[in-house]
Amino acid sequence: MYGWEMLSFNIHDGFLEAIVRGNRSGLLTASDYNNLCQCENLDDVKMHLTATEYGPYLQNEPSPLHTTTIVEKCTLKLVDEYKHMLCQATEPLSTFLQYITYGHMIDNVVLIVTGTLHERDVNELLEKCHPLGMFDSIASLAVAQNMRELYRLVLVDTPLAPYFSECITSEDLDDMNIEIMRNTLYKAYLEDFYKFCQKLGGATAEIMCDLLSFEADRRAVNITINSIGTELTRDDRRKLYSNFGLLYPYGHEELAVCEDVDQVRGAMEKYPPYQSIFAKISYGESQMFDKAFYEEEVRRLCLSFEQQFHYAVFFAYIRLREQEIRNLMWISECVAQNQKNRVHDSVVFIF
Amino acid sequence: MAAATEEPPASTGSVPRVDEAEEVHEATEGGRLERDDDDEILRFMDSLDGYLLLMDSLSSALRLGWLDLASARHSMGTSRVSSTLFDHKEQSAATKLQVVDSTDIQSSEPNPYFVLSKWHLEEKLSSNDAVSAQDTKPKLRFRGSTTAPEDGNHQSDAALAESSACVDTSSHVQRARSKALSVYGALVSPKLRTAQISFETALEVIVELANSRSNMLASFSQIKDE
Repeated sequence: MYGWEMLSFNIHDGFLEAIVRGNRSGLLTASDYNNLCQCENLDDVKMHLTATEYGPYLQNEPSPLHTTTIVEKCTLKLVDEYKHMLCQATEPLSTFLQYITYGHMIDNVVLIVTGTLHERDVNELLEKCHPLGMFDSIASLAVAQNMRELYRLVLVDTPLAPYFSECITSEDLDDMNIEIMRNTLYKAYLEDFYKFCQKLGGATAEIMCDLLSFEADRRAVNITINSIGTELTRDDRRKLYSNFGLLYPYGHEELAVCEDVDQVRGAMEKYPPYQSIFAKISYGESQMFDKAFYEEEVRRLCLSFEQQFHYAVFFAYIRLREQEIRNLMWISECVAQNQKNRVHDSVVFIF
Repeated sequence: MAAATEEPPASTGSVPRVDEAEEVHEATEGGRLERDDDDEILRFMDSLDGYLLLMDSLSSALRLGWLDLASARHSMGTSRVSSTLFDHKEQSAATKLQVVDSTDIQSSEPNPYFVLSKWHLEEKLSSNDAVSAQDTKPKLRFRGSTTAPEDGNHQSDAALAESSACVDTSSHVQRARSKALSVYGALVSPKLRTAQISFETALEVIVELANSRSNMLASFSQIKDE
């Protein structure tokens, strides 16, 4: 034990830790995934999911089903569980739970701003927003012409306000500026979350700092790979990497100058925890990076349940549910497109 | 009676020759017509075979494209890759299809013909030609014999111009592709780029299919007429 959490944790947070551990046992198992992978059509998928905890959310959906419907309904279950925990949490757990949703808030802000730039209807965009990232004034984002107005009119009263200090400019919003804004906000959010967890101390700090460091490193790799061949300069790329993590600072220097996937691999293989990830992928197989990183993330998230009396189990549960929803989305797409032989390309088994 | 029916020997000798010649001519004509029919049928069967191969190719390209798109959605998130982000602003088409009708006097094609022009390449190439025509950049001076080095100079100039034109075109296409994908954001997954190329290939195959079908229908109508 780190800080004698066993003495006082259960007073305020014991009930919710029990709830989240109970919810964790409802995650789909390998045999569930095997049954789903053998479905012939989406109605079969719905039939199998009706026998799981997703049953009440899917059973009344009419045929023909669409993949996006399955994802939406499964996400609603996650949102209900999250809100149930949030409404019963006290400080500092309630702040911790809110931190988990700021990433979705950033994605929703970028979705509304991008959609408005493309002259889309705001109501249509609001329907596509992630429910975990909604806030009251989100619809007002559509009136902003640049980042300064975005901050002044809407975001100053939201939890994202502190993250805007690095990206407030009067430049008009275009695709590249929006992308830079997204990644700058996410970088500031991750650093803030990291500091918050360090302040909490104990097992929460130990486990969460490891999980957030991995997240920061994975984002650095994704930004690097996605920016290869684009207009993003090396300096701008370097600015989007978080200032913590295993790759900080020397790994970031190498990633900033990478021009292809094999150079990225060369930079990452110098770090022992990532050697095992890249050992699974042969040269030129950049498509498997995502799955390898998801597998490593799931491994770390599952390990967090091995200890008690810390908040990382809440973070791990939400992330594992999101991974489960990604798995269901992929299986549904492969079934709908009659490409079941490709199902195991992206499904990550959780337990 | 027999004598009445007998034909004079002179006329007997010339008429069979004419008849034979006519028969030979008809046989030759008939054979030629049969060969033409066979050629036409073979042409139709070949075009049908090509059409079926193209259909198969299109099916593969589309399957690959849709799976890559699903893979990109899995990687980037469903909110980042969706039709909600399509741009509703007025914009010019990046890719155009020209239909050359058989009734067009200037057309050299007997059947309707389709030409695909991707990523504004025609306009780009014509603007490049205009620029190269106006190019007054002085050529390198070479000290030596007047013939071979100048020819070599001209050849190297032509090769350089060709390679720089190719590089220019490919970078233009790359920029046009990135611009098309920018509706999903400036930093997109490589899987989305792969999906874009698959659908681009599928579009080219569709145009080839249309031309192949046009030829096939023309061959079929010729066979029916005969």
